[in-house]
Amino acid sequence: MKKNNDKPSPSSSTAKVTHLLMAWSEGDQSALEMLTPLVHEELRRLAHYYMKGERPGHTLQTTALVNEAYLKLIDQKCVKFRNRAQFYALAGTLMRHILVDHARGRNYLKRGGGAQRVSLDKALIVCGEPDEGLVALDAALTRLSAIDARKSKVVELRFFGGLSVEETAEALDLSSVTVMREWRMAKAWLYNALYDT
Amino acid sequence: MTPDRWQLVDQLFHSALELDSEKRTAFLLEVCAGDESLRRQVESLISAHEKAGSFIERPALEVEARELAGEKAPTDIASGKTISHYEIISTLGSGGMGDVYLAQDLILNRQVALKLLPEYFTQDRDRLRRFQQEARAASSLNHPNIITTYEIGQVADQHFIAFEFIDGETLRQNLIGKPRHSAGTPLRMREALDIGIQTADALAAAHEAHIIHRDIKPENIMVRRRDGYVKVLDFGLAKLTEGPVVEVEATTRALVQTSAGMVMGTASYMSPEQARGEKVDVRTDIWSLGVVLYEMLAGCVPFDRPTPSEVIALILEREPPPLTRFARDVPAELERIVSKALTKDAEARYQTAKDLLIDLQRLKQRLEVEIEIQRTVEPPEKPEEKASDGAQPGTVVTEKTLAEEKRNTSSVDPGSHAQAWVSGNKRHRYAGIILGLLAVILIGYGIHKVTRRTETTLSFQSATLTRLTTTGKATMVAISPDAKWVVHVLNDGGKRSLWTRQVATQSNIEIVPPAVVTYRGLTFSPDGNYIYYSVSSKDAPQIALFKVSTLGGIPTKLLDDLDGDIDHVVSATVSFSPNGKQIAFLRKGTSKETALMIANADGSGERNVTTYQPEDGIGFPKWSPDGRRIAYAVLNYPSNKTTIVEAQVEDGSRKPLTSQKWLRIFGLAWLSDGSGLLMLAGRDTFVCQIWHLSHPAGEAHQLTNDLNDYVGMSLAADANALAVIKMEKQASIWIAPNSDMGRAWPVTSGPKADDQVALSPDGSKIVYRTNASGASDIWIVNADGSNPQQLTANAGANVGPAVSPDGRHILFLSDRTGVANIWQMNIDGSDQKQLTNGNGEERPQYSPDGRWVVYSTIAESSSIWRIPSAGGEPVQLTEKAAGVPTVSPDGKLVACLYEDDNAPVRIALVPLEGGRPLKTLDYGVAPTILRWTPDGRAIAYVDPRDTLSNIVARPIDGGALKQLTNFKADRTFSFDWSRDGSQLALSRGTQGSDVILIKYIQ
Repeated sequence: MKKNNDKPSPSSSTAKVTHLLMAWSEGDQSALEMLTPLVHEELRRLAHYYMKGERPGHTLQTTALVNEAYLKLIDQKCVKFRNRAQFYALAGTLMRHILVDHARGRNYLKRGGGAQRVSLDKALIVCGEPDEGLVALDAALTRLSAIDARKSKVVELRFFGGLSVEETAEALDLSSVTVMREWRMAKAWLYNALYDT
Repeated sequence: MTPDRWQLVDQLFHSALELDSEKRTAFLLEVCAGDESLRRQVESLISAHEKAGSFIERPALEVEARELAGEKAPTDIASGKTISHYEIISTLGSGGMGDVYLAQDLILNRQVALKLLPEYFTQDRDRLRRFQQEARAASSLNHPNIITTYEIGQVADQHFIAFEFIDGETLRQNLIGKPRHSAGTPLRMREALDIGIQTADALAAAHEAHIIHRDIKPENIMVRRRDGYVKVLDFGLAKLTEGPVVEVEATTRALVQTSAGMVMGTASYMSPEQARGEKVDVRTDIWSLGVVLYEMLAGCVPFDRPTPSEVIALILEREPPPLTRFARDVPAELERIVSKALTKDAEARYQTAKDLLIDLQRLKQRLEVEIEIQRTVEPPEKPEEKASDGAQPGTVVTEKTLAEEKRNTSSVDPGSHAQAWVSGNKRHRYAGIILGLLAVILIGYGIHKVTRRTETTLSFQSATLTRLTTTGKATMVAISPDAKWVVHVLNDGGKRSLWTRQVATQSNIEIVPPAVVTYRGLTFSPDGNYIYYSVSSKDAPQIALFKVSTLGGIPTKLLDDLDGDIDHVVSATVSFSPNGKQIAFLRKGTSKETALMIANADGSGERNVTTYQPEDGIGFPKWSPDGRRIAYAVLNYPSNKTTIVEAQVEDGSRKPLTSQKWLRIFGLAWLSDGSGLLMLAGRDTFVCQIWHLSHPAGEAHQLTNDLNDYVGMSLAADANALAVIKMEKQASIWIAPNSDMGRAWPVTSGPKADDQVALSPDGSKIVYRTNASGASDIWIVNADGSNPQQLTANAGANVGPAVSPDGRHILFLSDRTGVANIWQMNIDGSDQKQLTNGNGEERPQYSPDGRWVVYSTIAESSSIWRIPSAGGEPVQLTEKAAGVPTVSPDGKLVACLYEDDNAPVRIALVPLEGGRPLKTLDYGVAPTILRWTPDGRAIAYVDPRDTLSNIVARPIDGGALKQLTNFKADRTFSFDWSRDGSQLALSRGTQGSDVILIKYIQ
């Protein structure tokens, strides 16, 4: 992962996130509940600023966003090299959790939230934003994990976690070639699961 | 699936992907020997792999970031909440300047877009006031391309702007919503020019009032869905962001705060003076529009770097890459305009938006004139070619509107998965299921009847229909002999590509990429492994035969110089001998004679079987199952009738297969036992249906009689499946007062084709043809849409209505006797009487005094006739071939299409008494409907060169063609004026063609 030159000094919240991540990795499920709002808020704040200068269609700023999110979330000093990969893996799962939840909540609002709704057509065209996509993908990914957990994990890290092939390889202790292979098959399988009805 | 099995699938998937696509099938057949389900699983994954494109390649966070960014704390606004007198309905989007909601104005009872300004923008009162002034001033310009601001207000600390709600999308959404590329695709040139012109127009008006936008970018340019109107948003809003106002952490600030004078702006669209933080004037908007123009044409911005600071460095120091690097066909003049707008020195740039506007408009006009010239020097085109011309890169006739584009991509476009992913478009995902309809149809019964009589092996009780494509763009189809594969040509705006589909797997794969060519024929090899297709293009007009693997790969050229078509029907298909070793094809001779040829399957060893002289055209050669004869269609040009003939392969002797003749034959196929042929034909009509022709008895029976037009057909050798191309149309009637489409309203609606319209002379009633009842019938409705009534029923197909000048009678065509004749009835549908009894008539029209009915014949040679409306003897008005008559408002002249021997077809004005044309007018390509304009000074028709089918008028004094409508989407099928011209009725809608697989259940 590209190093950010202006690496922020770990704030108390960063230390807290790191601590919670560690707790979660050791099986403390209540840590996840505490982590979610913290990370969500951090992501929201970062996204807010990055989107302002965003030129849509260019992925590089997103990479920067993800990088910065990790920098914020994880106190680099507290985490040894080997553990960092592990943390990325955990953070990928966390991101999936948050993003899918977010998309799910948004859909609920979009479907009217109890108020007068615009026609379906209008909702689709005017909003033009991802709809059930993430939610459906999440479900398909869960099905894939039952068949092939490793493929599912590769997708989780790359798609939800925003990790590169090399980072994914490091996090899962695989070669890059294997990650690519797993990705290729998983992508085709998921594509069929979502579109080839 | 067991883990072992899964691993095997995984392994085979990767092994197969390492092979060339041609070898994959063979490989999988071998390794999966006997295990069909394994092979299918792997193939389905490979097909998904090939289609998936950018699916999940962009991280979820990127997609969600936009939402996250615009997201409010839970205490913030939700649907149902009221701000001032606006009730929030839903979120429309969020941008840098705040979130926008769709809201209901509770006082004026209208929908508005409500923008809530973030608090940190509104803290500086001075700046807020300046913004308010500017936004009000811009809105008060009342310019069609500037969004109307209704109110700028404040409730407690919440500042809001209520403005016009535009049902459309931003240019940004339009750019990223293009199929195939998630990262942006250039717009078609005409579209880009249109948007550029309208935006420049808005800026010119604003600049004149000394209002600077300061933040022109695709996010601030809205394109209305209905008509492609451009609305520029957020005038003056950039004022709010001047000066450093945001306190953020240093790391973040470095990325968003780019210079002292500009924060939060999108760096890519900044002018050099903005980037330097200097004071800006109107010329900054000109620069930004230059960037937008560049991006629309190139598909990417001119100064493209990952970070704003790098972008700014480029803006200040570098020249953008030449536009032609991304868009080769951009005219030099357009490149000059864009680069003048993108001149770093503001003094050397366009000085006013008006100058830029004028240059853009001039260019557009010039391009249109060029196309006009290009068109008029070309001979009338065949329908297939017309579209391919339209797709010449760089010409302006390729326009597809945003709305149309949107609609097209929302159906299953094999390349739009990335978009479907982003938009989560439900329709996309379910289109396949909903449209993959399985319906038992009557055709089976029809075949059953026929086959009992002819005692063939066909004994189908029923048939199932499956829709194999949903693009609406299929133009030609072939099915493999084992009925497992179907290949079709997809025509996307004149670019045609070849797609195969393994019927069982539900996915179409592109095997020959899109190109501006015309496909002339499509055939599977008998083993189903190869597709033989013939193509021609404008640059290579001679038809060449190619062979390509059913799974794609590099095509091989086998033969040159094939013959193409009979009349306008493309028929240069090749046919295999039953043993697969030889092919039959057609070749045009040096003196326009057509030869039926055979050759070895690799193209070697050509031999002539028989030759036809130029007065006959032949098409659709089909080798019989016994290998001894080749059947084909023969069109006799002088009589305009087509029939089926067979030639013996051995000695070339030929024999008609039937005494029957058809107006058009559009496809031919042998039944596998040689007991007959299926054909796609229209006896007295160009609308083709499926027929059965027995062999050798030569009896012909029409098998289908539905409302669809079948335009392509292929039969599987084992004869239990048939692939056809079916045309489907959806059309509604609209009324436009004073021909003003801006005030038009729909009179009819629904998923049906109301495609022929006639107005009563006083404009109060509309008579139209519709398929609403499931048959083709005439209906009437009041002009306000009330009281629709069916006038004809259960009496064949009834089409082509016209209302008498006194408003009491209706003329129409009906084939209830078996031939299309003219009938007349009272306006309430009573007293239906046959007026003519010829061999086929069409397009009846009353003379303005109501005494005569003028019409054209379609049998033998087409000509114009009149008959007293009270009945009597018909009188022929034209000697030469003529059609599509319309009587002038003064009743003296008949305008019609007229063909004087070998001269090109023109519009002719013929006296109502008959005789030579008094005058002829140019028109280019054959229109399908002519109408006098109500003032009697021009002939109006739907412009056939225009894919948008606008109505144009050709003045009879020879003046320039005038465009009467400005449609940006859909098609016009017919139109009619009330006598005083105050009402224009139109039939408008869409038309598409898809592949349908008909399977007979034995």
